[in-house]
Amino acid sequence: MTSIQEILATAKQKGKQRVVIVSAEDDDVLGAISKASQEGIARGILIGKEDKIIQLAQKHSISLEDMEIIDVANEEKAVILAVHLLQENKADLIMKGAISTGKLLKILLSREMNLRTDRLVSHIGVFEVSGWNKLMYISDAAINIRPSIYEKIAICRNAVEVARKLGNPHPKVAFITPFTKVYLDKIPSTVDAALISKMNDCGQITDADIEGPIALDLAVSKEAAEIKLYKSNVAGDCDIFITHDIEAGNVFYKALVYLAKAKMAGIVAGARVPIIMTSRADSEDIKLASIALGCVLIEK
Amino acid sequence: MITKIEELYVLARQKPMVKIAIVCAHNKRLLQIAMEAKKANLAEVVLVGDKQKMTDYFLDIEEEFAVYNSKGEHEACGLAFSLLNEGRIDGIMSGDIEPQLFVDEVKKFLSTSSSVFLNHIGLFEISELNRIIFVTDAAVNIAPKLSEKVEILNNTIKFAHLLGLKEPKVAIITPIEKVNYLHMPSTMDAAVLAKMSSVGQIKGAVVDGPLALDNAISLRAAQIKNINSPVAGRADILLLHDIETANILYKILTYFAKAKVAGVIVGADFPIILISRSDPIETGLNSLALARVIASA
Repeated sequence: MTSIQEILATAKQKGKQRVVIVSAEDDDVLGAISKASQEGIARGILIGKEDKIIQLAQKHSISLEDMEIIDVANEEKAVILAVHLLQENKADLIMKGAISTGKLLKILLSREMNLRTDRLVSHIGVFEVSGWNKLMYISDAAINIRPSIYEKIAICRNAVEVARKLGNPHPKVAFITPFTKVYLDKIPSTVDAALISKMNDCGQITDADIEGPIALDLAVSKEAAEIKLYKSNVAGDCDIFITHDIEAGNVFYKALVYLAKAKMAGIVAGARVPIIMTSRADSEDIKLASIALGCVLIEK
Repeated sequence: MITKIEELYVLARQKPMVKIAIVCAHNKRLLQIAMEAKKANLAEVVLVGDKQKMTDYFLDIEEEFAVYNSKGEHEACGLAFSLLNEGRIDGIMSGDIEPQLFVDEVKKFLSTSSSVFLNHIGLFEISELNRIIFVTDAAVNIAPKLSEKVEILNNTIKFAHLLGLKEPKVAIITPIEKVNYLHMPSTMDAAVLAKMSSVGQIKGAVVDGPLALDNAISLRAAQIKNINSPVAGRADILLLHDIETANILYKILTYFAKAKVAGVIVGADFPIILISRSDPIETGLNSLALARVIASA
């Protein structure tokens, strides 16, 4: 897939998946799930304060047709109920509503909920940017604050799997750093990147071509790579961009959306089911695309 | 205050001519920048570096420019610094040299004269916004400590004043808008810097943070998140946590937001131009115009 439009079309083709929303009293989230419902992408199961949900829907003229509302006032109970619906096969995936990310993930990923696997949980943003003719996967802008080298490998693996499910069997990955040489004492990201790309060369990490340390200009521009005499098949042709930490990932994400008019969809991978998670300030389009992405990614 | 990069050229032409040495002027693009600057009478460029490498591109380079031949990067920097000391040039521009090496050489040179603190500032004109945004620091300070962030701010505020922006709004950029004192040092630094501004320890600007990038530049995003700050949605200066973050922002703005860019290192008493070697020729020219504006200020 090369565009957000294709993700929406694929989700539509797959038919309605049952999306349970935790704390659905959020007008943007309601708007997005309503649209997803009309488009034939998802069927919403809304957990939250019923009167508030209905009131918001009326105020913003949002249709709640073909949706189920479950009246739960307590956020923690809302999360637990959502997980039960998944386990009883009454829902296919979970979406974050008005609840805070920290609270949602803390409960979702607790041992009792049994959603955690042996894998790391990470956020992946899928972007469509004008001037770039394929999807751009960025991780991690939202969950892992300062990943260790092991965690970076896990973040990479999650992103590679998402790319694979979207039809890219052998993605090109760049571990983005400010410079393209290894600075042993001064810049830890360059050391991590060197190790991980070498592990890829040695066949210890498979299913992707991994490059790094590599600066962003080289990952996105063949011309820049030529000028700087940088040779790599990832240069100018990268699919997955792994940043050193949440600071870098978050700025990457927001600069693309707010300053480069990018379209995007966001997902949390690594749990038993994908978790649809968007930021409060994200537009309804981003929320809709994220629902579609989640629906495409579930194995069904 | 200017709102477009183009206006730098207008300001530049009101100032005396400036003489800038390109250090390691070893690739075609750098020589094209020199040519264009000369043609437009924007700046007088002199070339420092391996003459052989320059003549590979332009055979009669010496007929066009003063060329100071030197071997290797250290020697080229040394030669440029002695030209500065002798008053034969007004400023320097980084050429085909590793940026960290160039910065280290400049720091060594300056440490013998006085104690100075250097930081890089990128000026960006972005079609989405109606003003110039200053981004710091994408090139000099790798992981600045809180005290170094104060220095970066002071330098950058002074620079904004120089360009006519009287009381710049400064956003300290972090991933979230709250203080996370367990896991995110950037949010703690931001809170302290904001407080230092409100109690008058950082002067000449309104500083706020922690602010995520969307809240710093988008009023709508700030409203949705109920952020009540004079800086939210209106920031002129963006202070990023470290070089990783700032470098990514610099490059997204260049490659995907189609920004017009100028880049400079501030803190010395002469202009130092530092742009990415892969930046377009226009960015070099914009930076030369900026150098001319600040050289005599």
